Amino acid sequence: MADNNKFYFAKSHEWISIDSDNFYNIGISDFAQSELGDVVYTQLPEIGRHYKKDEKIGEIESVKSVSEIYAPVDLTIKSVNSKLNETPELINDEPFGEGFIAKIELNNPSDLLSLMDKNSYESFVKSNHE
Amino acid sequence: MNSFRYIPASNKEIKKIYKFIGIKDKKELFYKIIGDISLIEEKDLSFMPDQMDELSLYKYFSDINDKLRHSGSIPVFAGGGIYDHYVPSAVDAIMSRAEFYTPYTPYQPEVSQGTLMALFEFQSMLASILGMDVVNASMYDGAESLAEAVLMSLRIYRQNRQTVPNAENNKKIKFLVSKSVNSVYIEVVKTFIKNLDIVIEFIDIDFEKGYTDADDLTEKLQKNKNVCAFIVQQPNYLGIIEDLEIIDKIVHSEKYAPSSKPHLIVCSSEPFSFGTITPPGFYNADIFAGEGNSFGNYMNFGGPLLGLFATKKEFIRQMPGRITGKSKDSKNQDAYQFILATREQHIRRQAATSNICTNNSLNALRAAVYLSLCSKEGFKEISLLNLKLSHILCEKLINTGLFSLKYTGNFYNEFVLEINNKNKKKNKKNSASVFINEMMKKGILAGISLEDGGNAVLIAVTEKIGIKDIDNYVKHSIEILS
Amino acid sequence: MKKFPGTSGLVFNEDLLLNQGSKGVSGINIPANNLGSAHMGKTAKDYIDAKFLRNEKKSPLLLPEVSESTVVRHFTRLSSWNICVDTAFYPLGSCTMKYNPKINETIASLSNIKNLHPMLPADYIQPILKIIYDFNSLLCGLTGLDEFTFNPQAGAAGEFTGMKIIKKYFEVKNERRNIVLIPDSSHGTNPASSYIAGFTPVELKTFFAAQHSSSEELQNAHDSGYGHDSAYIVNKIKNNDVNIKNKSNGYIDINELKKYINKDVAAIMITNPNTFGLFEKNIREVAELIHKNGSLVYMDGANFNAFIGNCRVSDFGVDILHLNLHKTFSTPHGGGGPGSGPVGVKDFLKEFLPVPYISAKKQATNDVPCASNNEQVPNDEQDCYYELKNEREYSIGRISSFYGNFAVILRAYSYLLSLGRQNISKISELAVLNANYMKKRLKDTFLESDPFPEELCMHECVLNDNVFRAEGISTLDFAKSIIDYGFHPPTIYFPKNIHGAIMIEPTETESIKTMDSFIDAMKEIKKKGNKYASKSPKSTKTKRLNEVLANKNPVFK
Repeated sequence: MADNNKFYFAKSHEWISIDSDNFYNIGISDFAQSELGDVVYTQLPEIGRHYKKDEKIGEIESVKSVSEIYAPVDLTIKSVNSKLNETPELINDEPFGEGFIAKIELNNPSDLLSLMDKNSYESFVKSNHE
Repeated sequence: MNSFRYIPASNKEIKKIYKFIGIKDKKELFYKIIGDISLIEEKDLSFMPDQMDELSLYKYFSDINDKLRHSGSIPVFAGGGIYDHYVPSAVDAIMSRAEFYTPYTPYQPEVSQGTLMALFEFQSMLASILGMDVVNASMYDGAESLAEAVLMSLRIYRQNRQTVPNAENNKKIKFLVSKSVNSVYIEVVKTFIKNLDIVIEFIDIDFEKGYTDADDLTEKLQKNKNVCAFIVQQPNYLGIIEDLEIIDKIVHSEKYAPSSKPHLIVCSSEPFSFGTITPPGFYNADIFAGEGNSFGNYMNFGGPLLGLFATKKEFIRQMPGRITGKSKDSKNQDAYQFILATREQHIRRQAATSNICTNNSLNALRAAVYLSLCSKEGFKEISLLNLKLSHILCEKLINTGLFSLKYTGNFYNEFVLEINNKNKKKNKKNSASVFINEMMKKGILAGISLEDGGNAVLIAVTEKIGIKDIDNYVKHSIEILS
Repeated sequence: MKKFPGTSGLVFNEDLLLNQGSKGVSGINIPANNLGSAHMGKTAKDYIDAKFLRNEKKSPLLLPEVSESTVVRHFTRLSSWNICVDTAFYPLGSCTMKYNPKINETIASLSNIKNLHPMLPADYIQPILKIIYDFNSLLCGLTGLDEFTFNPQAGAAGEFTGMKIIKKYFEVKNERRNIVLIPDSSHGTNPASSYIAGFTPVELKTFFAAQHSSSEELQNAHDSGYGHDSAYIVNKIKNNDVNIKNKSNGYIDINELKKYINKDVAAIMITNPNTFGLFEKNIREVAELIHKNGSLVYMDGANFNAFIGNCRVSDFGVDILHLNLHKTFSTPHGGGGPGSGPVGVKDFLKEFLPVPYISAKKQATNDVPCASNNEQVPNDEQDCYYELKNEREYSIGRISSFYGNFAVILRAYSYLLSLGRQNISKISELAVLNANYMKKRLKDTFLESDPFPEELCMHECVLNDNVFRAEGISTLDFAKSIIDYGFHPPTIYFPKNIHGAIMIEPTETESIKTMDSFIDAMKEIKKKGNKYASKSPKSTKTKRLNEVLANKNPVFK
């Protein structure tokens, strides 16, 4: 269904991708992290919990702002990126890599098709925020 | 000439401004801004008194102050949450510096380091006295602080139970409250939780000893599966020292908490005692919400006071109010600023941990100066002196045969005496309020009537009370009661 | 003559007091109470069970060990690192940093007054109860409302009290109304207070900015502190809700309001003048619409300094109001508090006010209430007896340990007495004049930054960052730069819907010279440009702080 290393984006700036071990990962986009500024704290989702599409799964805080992370599709949390507890700045440094939020399972992988690919996300950002 | 002493503009300058902005006079100015809403005319201001020059104002309030000499400069044996401790002159001298009392909240840290560093020291000293991890930069008063603690425990409770999908969660959340907690504080808590579908269940006190009945607490914890927190006061409203070690064991026992730990909230009206007794932090109290007015603040007829709020580090993000933190500036010097502001109303709006903005910062600074002056040994000694004096008074009053001790548990500087019935003519002088009124005529505030129409008096003693005052108390009690 | 106050001179360094001690040193001596030999040598365990005692090993007490002289020098040095109203112009918008009269401090520290225990029998506190009672009469006269409670300890507590009253009012009427409408320019406390009181706050848009928020604004969002809401902005971006049409207005739009009015609406919570410094011109129409819907009008009176003595809130339909004594009524803000937030209501809401309250009866005939509004105070010679009472039919209950912040109320009352009939309307007239003077004088350079160039403002004027940004100067840079000129910065990044907002409130207690000097400094900062501004402040002891460090690894003791 989904290509390795391909990123799927939500309008609320989360991404989902599939890594080389065939796990799905979720994170926030480079644009979102740059809007937030220096991340100082993340509230990670609960392991094992099932979240419905658009449900809040966590929070990211910079010094004086808070942003919520939403589930772009129905998903279940397999594990979280606990490195973020000590080094939340990974979200700024490597939003698409080490700064991912969690590893997830998708109820229905075809849900990903409702999300944007990289190009359409970039033009979405461009048209809405510039 | 200018029109009023606090206004620097001369009448000529005022005219100049009007001319500069192209407006004729006040009428036109307000008309252009507020439209045809009617302006107050001079005749409508007849309810306002004549302006007062400074000397007249001083005389007016001086007279009032003089009239109050039989209430404001008498020995005070009343406590009940607010105590008459001595305030060293150095506290007043420092706090009368305009640099401390005339700025706004330190939103610009580069020009507010004085306030911020002093608040940091306040937090550090209080954390050590209470044995708690983190103290905030103040709340309004003990009652409001406790109400905020209740709201905070609710947030923790809900967070802990997010993943518990059982039917238990739909039941009403319960707070267990010891009957020995200041009832006024509980009234304030009730105002805050009124529309939240929360139930308060009271825990009995041992009617002989005056502390929380551990068996009743155990029983109610066993019975209820949806307890959020237990609220206790140390020393309690009756002055009795609670056994927090036992309470910690019972409340924090996993036996009674199917999915998460219930929380212990300690409300202390008198952290002054923690120079002598072990503070709640060392018994694993989760939240401390108390009244810090005793540290360097005047009673001021009940306000402003100093709401204290402290918790464990793990709960810091659920905490209400401002927190001062240590940082570095661009030259790598130590510097202080408010931290974790994302909890607060100006960022998170309705999702904030509290609506508090202005707090009682200056009262916190007074406490910082007071505790610095006391220093480590001085604080222990003055705390011990309070303990001694109260026991001396208690013993002497009981020896008159006119009073008996209502609760026999250990007490710190406050205790309850009942006026004995036997030595009474039928003139109702054994009612506590009559006794207190009679003592007022002798120039002594003898205590607080524990309940309306009852014969129990809640009596507090501080270091301001000398042995002479104690002897007078005893002497006048004998006159009035026998 | 120097153009600006400027800054230069000696600043002391000072370490934490905890690092300055010597073992055993103390700043107090224990009062000699003539304990007598029986008690002299005793220790705590002679009085109470040893198991309760604090143990230095298990629970060490980390207090400094220093003398009185060390303590005094320490805190005096610290004080020198603060800017305050007494040292500098402090034009913090919406905070009303006016001069704090010294006589009020003297009065509040009169020894009998400050040493009153709150549980004294009523006979012994008559003059104190009378002060609160008379102050109530004055506030009723000035607002047109019918009774005030002084129990709320600050503005937010006042809002909470007001919202609880509204909640109870509809409960008693047996109506379920859960929504409170709050214009988007409100203080952050408004939605927080209404939420805690059990309502769902709903935001009402009043101003649509031409530009959306940039990341620079988010980055710099910190120092406003005052109601700035960058979370809101982030969420707006995330929700793709940015491209709204450019419609500068600044007032509540009646048609927009109508869309929100329905049977779930309990009240509107409205700040007037609003945080753009504008008087809500439509307020009577707004109130009429709200009242027609059976809802109530709550006014946040934080900005009452704009019209005190010149118009009454009852004349434009307000049912409930809170005032900030630490703003309009000159009591010092104390570097963060204490304040006082009395709440006033119309007659039909009196029974909902919190307890305790003060009642007054004529001494001779016990039933006749003492006159309030129409009598002159304090010259009245009425022989009244005052009592604290707890009986109110629908009271929301207690909200504070005792009766609110009496020492603050006392200062505010003294302030009103000093102003008197002759000056009460002058303070707001001059506050408005001064703000308009600044607004107009800024026009030659900052016209492009004025969102409301055609309007007269009230007590404060608001600028956006268009002009500064064109020079590469952020609002934060400007704020830090003006410190070096010897001024406290204005409120920044608030209101949130003005891009890079700068909110200037001079108050009536500042002179033309001071205002001129501040304006010149603003113009000079613009001229000096980005290179200068981005490195400011230069003359303070502490330079710009590392906020990320402080928040990532919190050190709080």
